[in-house]
Amino acid sequence: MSNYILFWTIIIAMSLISFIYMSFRVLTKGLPELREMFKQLNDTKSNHSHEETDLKN
Amino acid sequence: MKKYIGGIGDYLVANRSMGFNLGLLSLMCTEIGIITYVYYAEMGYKAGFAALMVAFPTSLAFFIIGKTGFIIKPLLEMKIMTIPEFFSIKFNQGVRLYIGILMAIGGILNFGVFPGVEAKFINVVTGVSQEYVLITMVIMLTIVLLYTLLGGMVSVILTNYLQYALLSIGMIYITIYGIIQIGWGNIVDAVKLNLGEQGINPFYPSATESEFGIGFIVWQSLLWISMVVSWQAISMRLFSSKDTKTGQKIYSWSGIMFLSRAILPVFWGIMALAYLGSNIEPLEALPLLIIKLIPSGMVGIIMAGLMAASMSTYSSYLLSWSSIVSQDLIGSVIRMTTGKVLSSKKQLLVSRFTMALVMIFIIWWSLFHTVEGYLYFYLGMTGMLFIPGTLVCLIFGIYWNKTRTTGAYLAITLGVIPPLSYLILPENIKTAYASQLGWGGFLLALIGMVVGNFLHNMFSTKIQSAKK
Repeated sequence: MSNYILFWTIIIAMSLISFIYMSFRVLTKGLPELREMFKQLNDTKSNHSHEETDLKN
Repeated sequence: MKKYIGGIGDYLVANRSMGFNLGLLSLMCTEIGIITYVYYAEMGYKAGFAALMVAFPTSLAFFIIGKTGFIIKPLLEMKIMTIPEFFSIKFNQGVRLYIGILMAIGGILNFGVFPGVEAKFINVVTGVSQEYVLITMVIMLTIVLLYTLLGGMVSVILTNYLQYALLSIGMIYITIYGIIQIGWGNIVDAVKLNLGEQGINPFYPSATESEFGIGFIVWQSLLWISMVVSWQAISMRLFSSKDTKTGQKIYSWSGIMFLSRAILPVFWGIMALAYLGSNIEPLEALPLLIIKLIPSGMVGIIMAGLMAASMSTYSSYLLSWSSIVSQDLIGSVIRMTTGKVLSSKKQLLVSRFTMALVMIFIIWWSLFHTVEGYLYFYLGMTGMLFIPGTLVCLIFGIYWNKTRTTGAYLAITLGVIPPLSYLILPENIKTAYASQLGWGGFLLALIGMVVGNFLHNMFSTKIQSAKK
């Protein structure tokens, strides 16, 4: 039984530490990606608008 | 937000522009809501440390699928937006419609219990009567509906960012504060005292007889491998990623994130057992732990985190299941009857309309439906209505050229039988045979595929010989 307790202790501790680390990482690195995503969507939208204007002309 | 949505591709998969970190947090947000905490804490409260076993199949499924690209790589290269789309490419429109119907039923029945369970949770934590809490849930769902309706996946990803910040603070705080206040030794002693060896050793009395033993691991591994590739809310993140490599990377790293997603809430249930004793309703273990353990000043922040988690799940699930209804049911019927494909703008309109309908249905369902047995098993089995058939069809469809439509129909049909039985059977029987009904669905789907292909090939050979 004590081996299992040791195993669960390690698993819980590792999960907590990895969750803290990963959360910090995705939040700090996710922000620039969010900006990039909107930029890309904006560019695609303007390309579509240009194509539609060209087609109308 | 609406200005960024030009067509159905922007709406459903954010024009495939999502990066790695954003994908990772968005996927976590989708699959974490109050209901996730409640069902995992229920398991921890009832089964102790042994219930932590539930985290491993999920984690391994994400890691292995992400690393190898098994199934997901070919799907990403097809540039599809929903899983049933694959069925029309590989099989025919009829199979797509059939799996789409099962996905819509399973997904919406699964989603349908969320507001009721979460209303009960908020009711216990805040003390506000359940009737008023349900009204609050309806208001919250309406807000979620409005921003998802307008911005689709773009809105979902943006709000996920803010929601993740809140939910992660809540999760970390509850865990650390709980350990400090209750004490690790007291937690272990409480499990030993209340549950004995069974609460610590997941393979007690034996690996085959225990609740979290071999049968459970096999079922959960198959379930999560299928969920990873066929659960629309998860696969939409995959299809929204900017390229195949990013999609695979999101999945492999999700292996680590999803381990914490299960371990921490199961552990909260164990802490509840130590702190509150063994005489409370298991589904109320977590809300009671929060109000009795967490200082009142912090409860507000924790609740904000938990509500944020739920809103992110609602938005993703609304978008996912309504996309199945609009793209794979309505779209398929239109295509089969008129032979035409709706324009992108019309598809967008249909998607928005079905999203509103899905929301009305889940509010109605949550008011009238009560869950029997483990909540986690109910959620698993509703998903299982389409999961075994989908997994078998995807594997055979991608990796075996000789897969035939009859095999697909038979695999999907036979795969439905065990989970449907679970939903119908009385509580004592369904709980005792949950694992068997779980892996049985996959076994029957596999048999259906093999037998269906054999019959198809046999009859087509006979017809060809007769023609000659």
